[in-house]
Amino acid sequence: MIVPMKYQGQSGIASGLGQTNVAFATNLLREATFFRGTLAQPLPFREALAALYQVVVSDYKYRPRDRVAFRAWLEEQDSRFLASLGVKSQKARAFLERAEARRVELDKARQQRLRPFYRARRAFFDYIYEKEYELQLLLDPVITVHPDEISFEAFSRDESSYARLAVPYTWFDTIDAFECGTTNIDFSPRLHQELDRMRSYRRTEFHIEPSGLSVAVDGAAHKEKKIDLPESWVMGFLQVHSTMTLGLTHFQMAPVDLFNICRYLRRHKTRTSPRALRYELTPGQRGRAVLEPWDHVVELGEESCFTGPKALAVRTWGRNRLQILRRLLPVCRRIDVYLAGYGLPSIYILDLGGLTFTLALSGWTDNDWTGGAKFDLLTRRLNASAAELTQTYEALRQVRSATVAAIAAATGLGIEKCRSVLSYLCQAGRAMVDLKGQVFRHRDLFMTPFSAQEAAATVKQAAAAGNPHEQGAQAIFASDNVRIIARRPVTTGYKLSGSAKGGDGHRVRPLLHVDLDGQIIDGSCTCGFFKKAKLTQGPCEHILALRLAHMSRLEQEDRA
Amino acid sequence: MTPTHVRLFNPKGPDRVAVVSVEPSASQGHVVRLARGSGPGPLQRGTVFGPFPDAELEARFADVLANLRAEGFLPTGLAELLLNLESPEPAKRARAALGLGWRRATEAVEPILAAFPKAVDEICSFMDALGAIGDARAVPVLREQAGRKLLSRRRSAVEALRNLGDTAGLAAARQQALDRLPPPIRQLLEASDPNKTDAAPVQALAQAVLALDAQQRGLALDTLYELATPLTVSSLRLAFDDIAADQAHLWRYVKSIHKRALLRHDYATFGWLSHAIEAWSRDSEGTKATVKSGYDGVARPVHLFGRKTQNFMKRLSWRYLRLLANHRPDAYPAAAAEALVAYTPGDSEVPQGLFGQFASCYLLNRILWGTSPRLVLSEWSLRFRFRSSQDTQPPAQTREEAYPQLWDAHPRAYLRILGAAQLPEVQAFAVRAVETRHPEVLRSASHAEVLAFLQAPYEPTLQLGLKELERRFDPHQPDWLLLDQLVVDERPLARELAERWLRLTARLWTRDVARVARWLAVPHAGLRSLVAELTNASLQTDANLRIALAQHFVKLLRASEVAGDTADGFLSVARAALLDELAPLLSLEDLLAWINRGPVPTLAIAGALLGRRNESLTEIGLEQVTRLAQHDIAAVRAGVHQLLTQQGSFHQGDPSLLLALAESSWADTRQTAVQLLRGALRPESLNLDGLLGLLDSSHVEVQDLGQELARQRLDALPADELTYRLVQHPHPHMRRFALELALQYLPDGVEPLARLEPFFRTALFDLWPDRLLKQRVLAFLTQRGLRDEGQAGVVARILGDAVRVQGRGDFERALEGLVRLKLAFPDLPVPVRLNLEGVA
Repeated sequence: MIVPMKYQGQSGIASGLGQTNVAFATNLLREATFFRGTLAQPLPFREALAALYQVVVSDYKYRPRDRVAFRAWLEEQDSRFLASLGVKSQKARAFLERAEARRVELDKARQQRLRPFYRARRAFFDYIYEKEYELQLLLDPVITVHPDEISFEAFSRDESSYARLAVPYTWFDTIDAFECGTTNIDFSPRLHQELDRMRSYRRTEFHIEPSGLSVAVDGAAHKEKKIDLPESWVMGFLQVHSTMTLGLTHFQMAPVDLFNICRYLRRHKTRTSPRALRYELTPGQRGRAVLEPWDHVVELGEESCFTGPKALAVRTWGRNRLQILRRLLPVCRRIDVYLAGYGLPSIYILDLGGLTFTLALSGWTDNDWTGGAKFDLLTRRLNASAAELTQTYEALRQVRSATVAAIAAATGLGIEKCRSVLSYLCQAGRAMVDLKGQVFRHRDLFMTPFSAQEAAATVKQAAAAGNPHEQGAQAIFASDNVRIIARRPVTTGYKLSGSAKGGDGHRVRPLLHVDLDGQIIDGSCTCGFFKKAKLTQGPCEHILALRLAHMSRLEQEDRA
Repeated sequence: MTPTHVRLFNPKGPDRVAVVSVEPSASQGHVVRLARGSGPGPLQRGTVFGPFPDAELEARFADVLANLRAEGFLPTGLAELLLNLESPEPAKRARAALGLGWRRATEAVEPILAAFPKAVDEICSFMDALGAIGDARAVPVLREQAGRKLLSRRRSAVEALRNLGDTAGLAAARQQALDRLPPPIRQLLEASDPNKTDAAPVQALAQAVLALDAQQRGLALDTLYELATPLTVSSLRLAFDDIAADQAHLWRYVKSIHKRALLRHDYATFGWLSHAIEAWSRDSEGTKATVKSGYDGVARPVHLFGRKTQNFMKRLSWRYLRLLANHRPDAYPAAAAEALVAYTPGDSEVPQGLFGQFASCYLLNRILWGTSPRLVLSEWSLRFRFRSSQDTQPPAQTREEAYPQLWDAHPRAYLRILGAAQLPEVQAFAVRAVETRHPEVLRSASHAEVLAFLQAPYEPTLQLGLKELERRFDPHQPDWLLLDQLVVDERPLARELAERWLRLTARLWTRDVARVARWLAVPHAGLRSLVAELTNASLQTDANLRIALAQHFVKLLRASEVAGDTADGFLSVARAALLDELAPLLSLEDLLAWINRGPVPTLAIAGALLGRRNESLTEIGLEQVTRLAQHDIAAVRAGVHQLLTQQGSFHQGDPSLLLALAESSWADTRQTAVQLLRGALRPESLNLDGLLGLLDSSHVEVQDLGQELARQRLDALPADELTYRLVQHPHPHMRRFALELALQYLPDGVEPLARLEPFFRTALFDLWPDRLLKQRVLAFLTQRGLRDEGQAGVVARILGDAVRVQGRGDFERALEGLVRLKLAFPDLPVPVRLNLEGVA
């Protein structure tokens, strides 16, 4: 997917004696969106933008080391050794040793002579990399001007980290003008450096507008970028919001707790598995973060007292990505942590004294958001018609942000229906979830305007793309091969135990914990798929079939 | 040359046999004797014509033959073949037509055309024969058949039209071929020059073919060969490197290409494809597949490229060469040479018993040792073995190749072998022939042909080539054409020779500006460097040459002819020897235009020349200077640095240019600007904002300069305000200086301390910490906290977090601080509880 971007000016910072102008140039190909105001506290904002940049450029995917040179060296050693075996005479040996010593000497001299060349070549490659990276790979963040806040969203190149920076309007001394909407902003490595010049002793004018700093670069009136964006990247961006609608385990931690975790990780490298970060949460007690394989324990602060119903131990991977947040730790007040489960995504929301920085991490670094876990299977979604999608979209666009209840009231759709429709809209890039504010917000991720046809296609696609497990669950439910053995209401919803017979003819025992909205909080099964992958690749067909049976039972009870 | 005798046959009699022969006359010259009769047996009647002088003999002999042809006599065999065209057996008719085709018997055209409408299975042979005979009467029927869908018909018709030179028919066939090709290939063909075989388009075309479905690939390859352009044939050969021909949907097209090569007498393709088929047959047992017949459209299970087919193809190649030897003897050596050069050392195998290392190389054995009694062919496996163990070594003076007389008649074929053969045995065959029997052929070889010897994998061939080249070369009167070819030759040996000759003739060619310019752009970097080195040496002593070369260089530059990867030769000469001459030839405008639009590799010179300009910075324009100082090319920046340094006094009055450049993203420009700023900036002229302009930089060297200046001016500046501002700097490099200021100048009280809280937190909670800085921060905080309860509150907040850090040093210091605070202010809320019982 080629994403074109066109900027009239450049984003940049112009610092005078008493004033700094921070101007973000917006994508001319997107809807007209602008904002003009004066920032009240530029420093936390500066740090947050630096962290956002770290997310944009971060790529933690594992890449094996290139061992070609080492193998060549090894082969050379082998051949030398073998050749030396054939040399019998002392005279020849002495000659060879002298020749070898001379060769080493010459090699050193050559290395010395070529050192400036290697240095220049390295510098050249760095220059090319930086330049090309910006033009071809760096996907500019998405900025959305809401009626109550400005949000910057970015997704890492390795498709494993998502970040959202929300700046409320209370953070501005004055707001001169704004137009709600979504666009991209020109965000280069150079700008990242310039942002470091923001200071609180200068008045910071903050502008988001097409002209940016109104600088035409080298006579070129426009700067154009065409990013070849993988489909998975876009899907991942959308999937994040699907995850945020799950029933997540929540607790808080102090910034110094996260600092301790990051500090230990920075000082210790491991070459052996497991490399998980395990959170151990016990109701009413302070949480613990355990770093594997050393089993190093970081006792979390008092704020981490867990309020859940039972003790949990959740393992998350890809913990090095937390170091992205390093610049935020000194200015952060509090961290809210949301965990989806074993090997599933984790979300960290940093409170910077009003600014909110959300970092969502996929289950592990190589498991991008679309790779393994099928989060939409964990949620319960009803089918939605094109008309319902359009109606909900329009309602959300009008108010820009609202709770599910408010939207449901405005559209006349039921809460469940409304939640499902909003979930589809999130998946189509037309809405987003604000986890901190517990609201849905309008956000058009794509340039094309919303249309009923597109909406219908999205729903159809979502249905057609149905995971085989989902189809299997439907088949089990339709053939009456699933039974609820026990159903126990708990404070968070229901706990279910059942029996299901899948396509392979084996009867298994799924267990399920769903909330009152039908979203899966936890689940387990005795089938092979679950034993192998747990929930990291989404729930198995038996768990899903049990949920279908449960929802059917609820519907009957409602009617009764 | 008059033949010694010709036998003729007249099927309608009464005399059915006639023999025309030439005999020496008893007096002078020769007589032509004609004997005729009903045959077989002794001929009853005869006539003697002559005697004729030798000069007339050929014409008289032809007259006698013409008279006999007029009577109805035909050369022996031809008549039978013509009769066979009317045979009831299609196979016999087909063979007869092919035979007539090889004989190029124009008498057969009408009978073939007459038989054409009823022909079915033999129709392809008829068309092949018509193409071989080359009579234009066949064009209409061939054009009609060229439009057929059936591959065999279309192939024979198109190749026959090609042999007939029918441009219009071929154009129509070409269009049909293009329409048949998949769109990606068609587009590539339309975008490329068909007569050029540059690597890029050839590779692109080959890749496009390989990217096709297996079912389309074969037809695309055959169609490319049908188009018969250098581009398509080269890409075809390249594509075959990655193809296994024994696959369904492909083998039939490989066969088709082979057949086309035979019909077209494309010996190069014939040679490599025959060899490729032989090579494939060594590794493949064939493939079983169900494929649809192109003949009747019925799908049948077949064994593709099985043993029988492999043997048939090998025999077919040799049969073709034999037919060439018999009917086109002039062409045999060239075709055989192409077949020989395709063999590589990879074709050899481990000798086993009487089977030598080339036992499986059928065509090689046939050509190279075809008349040798030492070798015996196994008809079943088509492998050659030595007759006995005594026969493994070739006899010294005996020629063993097939058709030795044809090789002797056309010895130029040896040159092809010497220049291209990869097998030492084949090279030895040609070297022996050239050295012993045909030394004259070496003298007649072109430079390119001799240069090709230098890549031969056979030492005597290399020596032969080098000897010949040395013979042709005279350092006092060099053959410039030969040198021109040698310097662009990429073969290492040729390059070595070129280097030696360039050195030997340097004093001659360095006088010729055009030649120097041409050789400075040769493809090999090493040679370019040598040319530049020799030119530089010559330029040192020759001012006129320098001026001429500089003018030529500017001319080339203006014509945009100095560009690309080969510009380094020019650049080397220009930098080493021509800068003084180039400078006056270019105005400032020229230079700036060159820098703005010129080819990137040449900008190094432009930068060097820019540094030599005498114009002031204002003349050039400060904006222009700022832009050039941040140019992507280091040499241009270096030129500007030189300009800036030369005009140091300019910056004393107005350092704004340097201040702007100090923030450049290029380290070299920053360093130059900072260096010049040290001299240009007077500390007393800087106020707080001016200093902060430097201190706020993200670059360490600028920060250092700012720190230096700040230290000199601290007494005159509001140090507390400077501290408040500097602690906001996010760069770790500034923290020590900021702390230093805070230690000295931070006013007492809660409010000033609280303003620095983010700074202290940043220093303490840094993942890449400065240990000394942390220690000093903790000590400072403890000290300030002890002053009053208000400050203690601020400090307790910070230390309260610091004490939770899992580092022993930090923990102990923070804890100590907190304890001391708690002891000093017992009511202070700190996360530490003191148990003072028992403490004295």
